[in-house]
Amino acid sequence: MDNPKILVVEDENVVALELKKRLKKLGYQVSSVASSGKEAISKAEGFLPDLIIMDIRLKGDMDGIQAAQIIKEKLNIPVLYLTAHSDDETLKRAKQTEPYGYILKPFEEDDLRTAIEIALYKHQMENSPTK
Amino acid sequence: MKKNDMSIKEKLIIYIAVSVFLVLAISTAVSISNVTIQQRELAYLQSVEMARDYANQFDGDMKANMAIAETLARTMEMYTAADREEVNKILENVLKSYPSLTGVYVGYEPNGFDGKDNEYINAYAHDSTGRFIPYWNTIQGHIEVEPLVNYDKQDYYQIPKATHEDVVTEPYFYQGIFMVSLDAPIFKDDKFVGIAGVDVSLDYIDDVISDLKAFDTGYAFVTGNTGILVSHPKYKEKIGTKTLYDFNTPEISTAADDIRIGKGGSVETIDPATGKEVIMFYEPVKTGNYSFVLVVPKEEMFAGVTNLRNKLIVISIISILFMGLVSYLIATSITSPIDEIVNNFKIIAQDVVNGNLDTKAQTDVEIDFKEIPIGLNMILNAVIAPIRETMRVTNALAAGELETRTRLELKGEFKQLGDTLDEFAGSLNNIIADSNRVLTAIQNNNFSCNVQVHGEGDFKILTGGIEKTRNSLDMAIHEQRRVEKELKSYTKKLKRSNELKEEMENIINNSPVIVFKWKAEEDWPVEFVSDNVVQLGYTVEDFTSNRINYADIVHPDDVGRVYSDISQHYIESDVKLNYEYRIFTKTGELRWVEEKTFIRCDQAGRNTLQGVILDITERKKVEEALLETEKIRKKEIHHRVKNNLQVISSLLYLASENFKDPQIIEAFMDSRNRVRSMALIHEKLYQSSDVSNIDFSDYTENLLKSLLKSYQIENKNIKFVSSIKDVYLNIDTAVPLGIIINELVSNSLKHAFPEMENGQINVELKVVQDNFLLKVKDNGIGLPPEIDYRNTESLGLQLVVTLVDQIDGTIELNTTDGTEFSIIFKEKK
Repeated sequence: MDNPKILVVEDENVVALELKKRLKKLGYQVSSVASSGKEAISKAEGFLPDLIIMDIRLKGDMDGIQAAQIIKEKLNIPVLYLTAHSDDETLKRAKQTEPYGYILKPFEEDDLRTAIEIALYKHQMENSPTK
Repeated sequence: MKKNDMSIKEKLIIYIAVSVFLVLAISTAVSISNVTIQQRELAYLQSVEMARDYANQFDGDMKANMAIAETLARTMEMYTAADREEVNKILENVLKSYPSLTGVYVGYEPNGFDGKDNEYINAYAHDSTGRFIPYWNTIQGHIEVEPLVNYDKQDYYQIPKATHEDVVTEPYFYQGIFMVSLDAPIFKDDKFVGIAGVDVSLDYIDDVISDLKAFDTGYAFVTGNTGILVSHPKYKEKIGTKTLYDFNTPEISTAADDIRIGKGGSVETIDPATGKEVIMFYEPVKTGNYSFVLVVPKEEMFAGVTNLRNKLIVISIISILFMGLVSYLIATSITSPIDEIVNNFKIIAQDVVNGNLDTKAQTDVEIDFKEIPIGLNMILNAVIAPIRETMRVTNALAAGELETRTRLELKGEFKQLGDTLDEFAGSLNNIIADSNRVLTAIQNNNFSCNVQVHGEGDFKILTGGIEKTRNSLDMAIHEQRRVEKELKSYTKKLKRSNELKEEMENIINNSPVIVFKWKAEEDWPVEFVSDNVVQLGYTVEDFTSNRINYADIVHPDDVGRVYSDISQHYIESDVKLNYEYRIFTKTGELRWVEEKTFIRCDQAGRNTLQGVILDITERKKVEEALLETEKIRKKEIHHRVKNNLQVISSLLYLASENFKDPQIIEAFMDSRNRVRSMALIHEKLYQSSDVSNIDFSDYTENLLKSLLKSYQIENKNIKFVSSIKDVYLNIDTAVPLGIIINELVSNSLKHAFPEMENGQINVELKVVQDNFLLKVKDNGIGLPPEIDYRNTESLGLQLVVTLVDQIDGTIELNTTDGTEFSIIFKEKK
């Protein structure tokens, strides 16, 4: 896949900006940045990205896990959680949405690339018609 | 028996008999002692005399034999022919002339006689040396000659040779004959050339001495100076083989010691031969140190003394018996008239004591004692008349005739007696009249009529008693009236107090406060509880019947805490205590209560717990809710701070994008790492359960992981070993410490391993005594020697030093193996 499109969901816009710059540096397209759950869902529907990088804590009533759940059901787009060294309860909830991976904050470019490549590959294999 | 308990008669007899006994005993003892000493000296002198006689006789024999040996020696000195045959003839003649000798001989030094020893080797009467040593003897019963033997070692030759003196040998056995040798040295030109000697059989000594008798069974024997037996009438088989020491008797051994040094004397011992007590006298024989020993049984020696002693004892006993009889007769003649008067006096005394006053003493007694009964009769007459008169008056008084008085003219003390009786009758009369008056008044309920006439002595008890009774009755009437009045007022007060108590109970029972009184014992049995305990579902009876103890309703998790505190105060009193804990209501509902208790000592001296409990469940709920809110608020703050720090981290990244200079980019990265190390603290804080302490082990693991990623150490295998166990730190300490670790580990990652592929970085944090010890160590190339870490351009190390200072810590560097920083600090409170 050439230049996969990625949707970044992150309520701290400065952090999102850093992420965007790094992704570009790694050769990905960043289709858009969302800062709430609702915005994430609508932008996912609008842009249909190849991958969503989702922060778990978001502005608004909906957190990243809830948003990911809805996107997974509606659009079957792979989601990578962007998370700090979170507490067990949050991780347990996140697991139930069968994510394609986690990126632990603070992230380095290598982490980012590895997690993205694995998620895309995994998703491709699951949805391959030959399977 | 005491001296006074003995009669005159007994004393007289005992004094006389004892004196006689003492005189006789002393004189007998002195006589026996003197005679014994004399007899003993006499016997001793006799025995010693006998011993000396025989010793002298034996000595004489020995001297005569020695003279033969000496004569022979002198003869040989003057003999110059050197003819062995001729000398043998002389020796044979001497032996024939003196049948008492057993042997006669000469013995010469090698070639000492004629210088021809070579010619006589193993010749007749010679041995292999050829020396001239003929020994003429009658040992086999006839005269024969043979060579001397053992001359090269035995005394008979060797002593004269060595000392140039005559010698008498110790007795010895030779070819079955017990003998002694007497030898004299032969000189030529003042040089010893040989000896001349004779042998004497000692059998004759045994024959002579064994026949000796001293007293009846005493006997004598002879010993050598070594104590060897030379003769003995009883131990023939021991002659020549045994010594005095072989008897194993200490006294005999002492005698043997004396004999050895040529001393005479005597010992007392038990004779081993007869088993009798004996005295053994011994006396030395001058020639050759022999001793003559005389053994005399003691009983025979002192037979005369014993006889005399027995006779004296018989005489003494007879004398004592005779003097005892005489003293009895004397004593009887003195004491019988005394006994008569004493008996008569005893009868009179008994009569008077029995009230028979008409008795009289017998005046028909020995002239010496006549005044005694006459005087006694006068005394009796003088006493009887007044006694009879006072008896009459006393009897009348006793019969209640108080008007009776004495009529007889009395004298002296009897007059006083009569007057006293009269006076007594008068005063008794008065007392009775007065007492009667008072008692009559009391009968009429008049308690104010005093006793006027007070008696003396026991009468005072009577009149005093009446007065006291009257007073007591008077006071009792007064007291009764006062008590009746008080009782009325008390009843009024009691009624008021009961009303108050009911009101108080009403107030308590209508309040949320439940009043308890507990025993200060395990499980707190309840003594009293207010009725409003029903608000917990229990009845008063549940507790007061001890069906439920108070500890049963307290939550099990709280019982221990409250009990361990309150039981410390059991022995104190007047202590106020305050607890909060959970209890169960009867339906099992959990409630928080606050207990306020006062420990008080009751009247019986026991400590009881008096207190109230108040349901504070609602307050507790509010408090917990508040705490929870506070916690959420703190979490939120830490989350915000963390987010902000993350934003700063991103800003630093974005800013660094504008630069190409790797040094500048690295400076930005270092700063990002510092910010992250702080962000991580806040992240850990909002994840921790109490939101104020950080699990520093967990924190360090995360920090190290992110540092490793951040520096992207490619193609290098650097291992982290962190050992931080159960250390929880607050934010004030954790933030500086996090940055310190960040700086030190970053330094190691950047500089320690330029060439190496394998490295190890250890981070250790442990508690040492009251302090924490942080060690950051790598096994890399070490700090360049020119760098002083306390004073350097490196921002990292400057931060480390200043932050160590901020947490009041100390820092040490050890560069023996890589780089090791040790930091000791205390947690900031």
